[in-house]
Amino acid sequence: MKRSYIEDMVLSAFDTPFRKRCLAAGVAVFILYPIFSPPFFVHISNLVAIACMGAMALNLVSGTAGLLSLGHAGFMCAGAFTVGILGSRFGLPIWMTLPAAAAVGALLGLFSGLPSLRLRGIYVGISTLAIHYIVYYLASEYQFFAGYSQGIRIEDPSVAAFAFSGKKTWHFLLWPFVWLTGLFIANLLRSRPGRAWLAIRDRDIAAKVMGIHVGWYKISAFVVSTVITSVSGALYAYYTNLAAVEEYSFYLTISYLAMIIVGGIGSILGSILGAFLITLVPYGLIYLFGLLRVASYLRDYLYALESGLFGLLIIMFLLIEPLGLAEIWRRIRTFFELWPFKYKPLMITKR
Amino acid sequence: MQLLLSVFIMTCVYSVLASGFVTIYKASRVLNFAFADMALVVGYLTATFIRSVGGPVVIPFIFSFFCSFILGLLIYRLLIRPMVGESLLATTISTVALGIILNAVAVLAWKADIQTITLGWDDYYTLPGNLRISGTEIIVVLFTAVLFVLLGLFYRFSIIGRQMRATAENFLLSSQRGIDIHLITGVAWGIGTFVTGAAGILVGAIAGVSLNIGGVIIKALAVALVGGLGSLRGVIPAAFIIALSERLVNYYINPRLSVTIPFVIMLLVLLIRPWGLCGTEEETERV
Amino acid sequence: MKRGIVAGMIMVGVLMGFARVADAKEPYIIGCQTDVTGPGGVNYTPVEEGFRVYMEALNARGGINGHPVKVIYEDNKSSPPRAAAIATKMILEDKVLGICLISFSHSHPPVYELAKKHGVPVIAPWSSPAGAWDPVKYEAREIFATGQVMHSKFDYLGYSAPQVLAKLFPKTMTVGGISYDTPGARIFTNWALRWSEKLGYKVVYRGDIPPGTVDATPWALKIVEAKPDVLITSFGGDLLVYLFPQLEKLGWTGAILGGNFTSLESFEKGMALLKKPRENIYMWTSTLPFGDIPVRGGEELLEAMKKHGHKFRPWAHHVSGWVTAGVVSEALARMEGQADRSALIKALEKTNFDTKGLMGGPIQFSPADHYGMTYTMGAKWDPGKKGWTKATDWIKIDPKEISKLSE
Repeated sequence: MKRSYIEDMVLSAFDTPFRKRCLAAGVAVFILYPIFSPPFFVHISNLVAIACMGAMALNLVSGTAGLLSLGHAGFMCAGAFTVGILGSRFGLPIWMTLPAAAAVGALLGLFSGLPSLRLRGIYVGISTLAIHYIVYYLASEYQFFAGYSQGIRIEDPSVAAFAFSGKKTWHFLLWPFVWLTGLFIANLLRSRPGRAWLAIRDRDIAAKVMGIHVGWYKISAFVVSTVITSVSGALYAYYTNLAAVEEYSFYLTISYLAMIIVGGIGSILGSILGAFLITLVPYGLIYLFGLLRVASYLRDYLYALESGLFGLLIIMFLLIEPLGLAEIWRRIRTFFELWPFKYKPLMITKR
Repeated sequence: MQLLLSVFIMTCVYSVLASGFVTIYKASRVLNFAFADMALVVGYLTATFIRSVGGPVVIPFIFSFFCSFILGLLIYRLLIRPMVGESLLATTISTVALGIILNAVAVLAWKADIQTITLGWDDYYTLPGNLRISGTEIIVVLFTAVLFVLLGLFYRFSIIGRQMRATAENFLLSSQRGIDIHLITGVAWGIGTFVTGAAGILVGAIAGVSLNIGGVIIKALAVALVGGLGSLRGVIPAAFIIALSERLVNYYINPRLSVTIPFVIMLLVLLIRPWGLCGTEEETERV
Repeated sequence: MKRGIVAGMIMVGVLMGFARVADAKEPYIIGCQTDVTGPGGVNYTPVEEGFRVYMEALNARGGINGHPVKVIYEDNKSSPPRAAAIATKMILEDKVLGICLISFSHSHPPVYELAKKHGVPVIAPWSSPAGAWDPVKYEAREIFATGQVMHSKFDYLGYSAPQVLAKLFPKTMTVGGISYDTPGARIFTNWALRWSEKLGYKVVYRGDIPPGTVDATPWALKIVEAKPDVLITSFGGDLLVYLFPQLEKLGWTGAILGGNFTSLESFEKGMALLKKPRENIYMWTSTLPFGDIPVRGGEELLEAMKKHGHKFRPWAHHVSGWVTAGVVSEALARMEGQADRSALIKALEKTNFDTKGLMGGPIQFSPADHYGMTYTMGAKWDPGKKGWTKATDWIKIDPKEISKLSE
C-alpha cells in the first residue's frame, strides 16, 4: 500500500514476493547462463542484448513519440565508426570513445529531429532515411580510403588493464547495459517526457494547445533515441572488433523496425520480445534447414529463403496481431490472472 | 553533350519509376517501399518471357504488363486492404516486408543472375552534334512520353480516373458518394505496379536486370519527393534535376558521391520546401 | 526488473528448443563461404560449384579413408561483417576443420583475424593477402592461397597481365585500365599499368567502377575520350554487359584484355549485345577454360559436373573451386595423428597437387610459402565458334622474382 506521493511515484516493479522471487530467478539465469552454455549460444545472447538496446531506443522515438525513424542503421553506423576512428586511429580508450559515440549520436539526433518540427508522418521518415544514406556514404568513403575497404579493425577494449575479450566477459558487460537502458527508458516513460511524447503521438496540435512544448519534446525524443542507438552501435563494433559499413544497410533498419512491430509498439517489453525473436529467426531457420536436409541447390539460396520467410513473418504479424508479441503476452497473462473467470471485472486494478 | 543525352534518357527512366510510386501514394497514402523489388520481379519476368516466347517483342511485353497489373491487384487485396486504418508505421513496414519477399522470390526463381532485355531495335544512330543514340534509348524516350500523356488523359478525362482523384482527395466523402473505394484503389495499385514494372523493363533494356538495380531504383524515391509526393506533373522536372546532378557529380567529382547526391537533394528539399516542386502544402499536413 | 525475468524465461525456453546431440567425429567438416547474392555473385558462384562438384565426387568414392567430407555452404555477400559472423558460426558452432573463402578481397581480412585467433586454416582460391605469400614474415600460418594473391607490396596478377599483353600486342599500342572499385581489383590494375609502363607501353586511361553500378555511361565516355588501343579490364561479367555495348555505341572498338573474373554467361550476354563480332577480345587467366580447350584434368571435371549436376556451363571458374577442393581433400588425407585444425595446417603445408593441365603446373606449398609458383596464359574469344581458343602458352611466374623486381 502506498502512503505518500514519493512512494506512488517510485517505479514499483518488485513489490510483491512473487516478483521478488522472479527477479532472483532472472539474476540467477543471467549469471549462470554463460557458465553452462556453449560459446556460440553466449555469442547469440550478446547479439540479442545489442538488439534489445537498439530496439528499445527505436521504440522510444517511433513507438512512443510516433516519429517514424528510418535512419536507425545510420545512427548505429555513426557510433561504430566514431569508436573505430577514435579507438584505432587515435588510440583512445573505451571510456573516452563511448561518450564520444554518444555525443556524435546526440548531434545526429539533433539534426534528424529538425525536419520533424516542420513535417509529419512519412516525411519525417524520409528525412531520416536521407540522413541514413548520408552517414552511410561518409562512412564508406572513410572505409574506402583508410583501409582497402575492409572495415576498421578494432582491438578489444580494456579498462585499467582488464581487457574485454571473450564472449563471457561481454555477456556480463552488455546485459547490465540493457538493464540500465531499460530502467532509464521506463523512468522517462512514466514521467513528464513520456506523457508528452504520448500526447504528441496521438495528436500534436492538441498537445501544443495544452501547453506542451512540442518542438522540444520531438527533438529530445530523437536525441535520446539516437544516443542509445549510437552507443549500441559502438558496443557492437567493439564486440565484433570490426566497424564496416556493409553491416549498416537499410536492411538493418528494417530488422529493427520489425523488432518493434513484431514485439509491440510503445512498450519496453515489446522491444525485448521483438529483439529476441528477430535475432533468433535466422539461426532458427538455419537449424531447421539443417534438420530437414534441404537439397543442395536450394542451400545456395538459403539466404533468400531466410529473408523471404522473414518478410512473411512480419506481414503475418502485422495482419494477425498488429499490437505484437507484447499484446499476446498481455492476453496470456490476463487469461491466467482471471482464470477461472473469462472477463475482467468492472473495477480496473492498477498495474 | 553526350552526357546530357544520357541525362535525358535517365530522366525518362526515373520519371516512369517515380510516377509508379506517386500513383500508389495518391491512391493509398502509403509509401510503397516494395517498388524496387516489384520492378525487379517484372524485369526478370519479361526477360524470361522474351527468352521463351520469342517472336515480336510486343507480345511478351503485353503479357508482362498484364501480369504486373494482376500483381498489383493481388497486393492490394491481400496486403493493403486488410491494413486499412492501421498506423502509418505498420503499413510502411508491410510494404518493406513485401519488398523483401519479392526480392527473395526473384533470387530463388532467377538465381541472382543477370538478364538482358532487348527491345528489338538495336541500331545506333548519330544525331546532329555527333551524338550517338541507340534504338533502345529512343524507344525509352517515346515510351515515357506516351505513358505520361496517357496517364494524364486517364486521370483527367476518364471516369475511373476522376473517381481515383476523388478517392485520393477524400476517402470518406467519395465512398459516401457511391464510388467503390476498393475497386478504385485496387485499380490504382494495378496501374502503379504496371508502371513500376514498365520502368523495370526500361532499366533492363538499358542496363540489364540484376539484383543491383535496386540501387538505381531507390533514387526514384528521391525523385518522387522532390517533385511532390502527390503530383504527377512534378515528377519530370524533379527527375531531370536528380539525373543531371547525379551525372555531373559522377563525371566531374567522384563516382561514389553520385549515389548519395539524390538523397542530399531530397533532404534539402524536405528542409526548405517539403511539399516539393509541384505538390501542395496541404499534402504534408494530410498525414 | 520484470522484463529481465521475462527475458530470462525466454532465454531458457530458447535454450531448450536448441537441444542438440553431441558431434560425431566421423565426417570431416569444412566450411565454404561464397558470395552468392552479393555484388560479385555472378562471378563467384561457379567457383563454389567447382568446389561442390569435387567434394560430391569424393564422397561418392567413399570419402577420405572412409570419412565423408561434410561441407557447410554459406552466403557471405562479400560483406566483411557478414563474413566475420559466418566465420564465427563456422568456427564455434559447426567446429569446422578449415574454411574456404570465395568472395571479394575486402571481405577476407575479418575472417583471417578470426582464423588466426582460433588457429583455423583458411584456403582462398581467389585473392588473399600477402600472408599466404610469406606466412613467416606476416605471421599467417593459417592462410593458404591456391589462386591469385593481391597485396599492395606484391601483385602476381598485376605482373601476369602485362606479360600476356607483351606476347599479344606490339609496344606501340596505348593501354588503359579499368577495374572494380574493390581493393584487390584496384591494386591489380595499378600494378598492371605500372608493369605495362615498365615494359614500354604508354598508359592513357585509368578508371574504377564500383561493383553494383548499373549505368556505365560516364566511364564509357571517359574511355572513348582517352582512346586506348588496348583496355585491360578487371571486373566481372555484369559490368561487361553494361559497359561494352556503350563503348561500341560510342564508336570505340579497341582490343580488350580482360581478366577471367567474368562469368561465362554474363560474358556471352555481353558479347550478344555487340553489333559486330570482334576479333580482338582476349583474356588472361590462371585457370584453363576447359570447356573449350580439352585437357586431361578437364575431362575429369566435366564428368564430375555431369554426374553431380551443375547450374553453370563449364568455365575457368570451376577450375578454381575444383583445384581448391582437391588441395583440401589431399591435405585431409595426409593428416597425421588427431584429425584437428593444426594437423590440417601441417598437412596443407606439404601440398603438391597435380592440376593435370588445368592450371599450367602443380600447386605446391611449404611451411614458408603458402602460395607457390603460378602460371598464366592468354586466351582469345572466337566469335565464330563462340568459344575460347589458346592465344599463348602457359607463362611461368615466380612470385619471389617479382617481389625482388618490383621495388
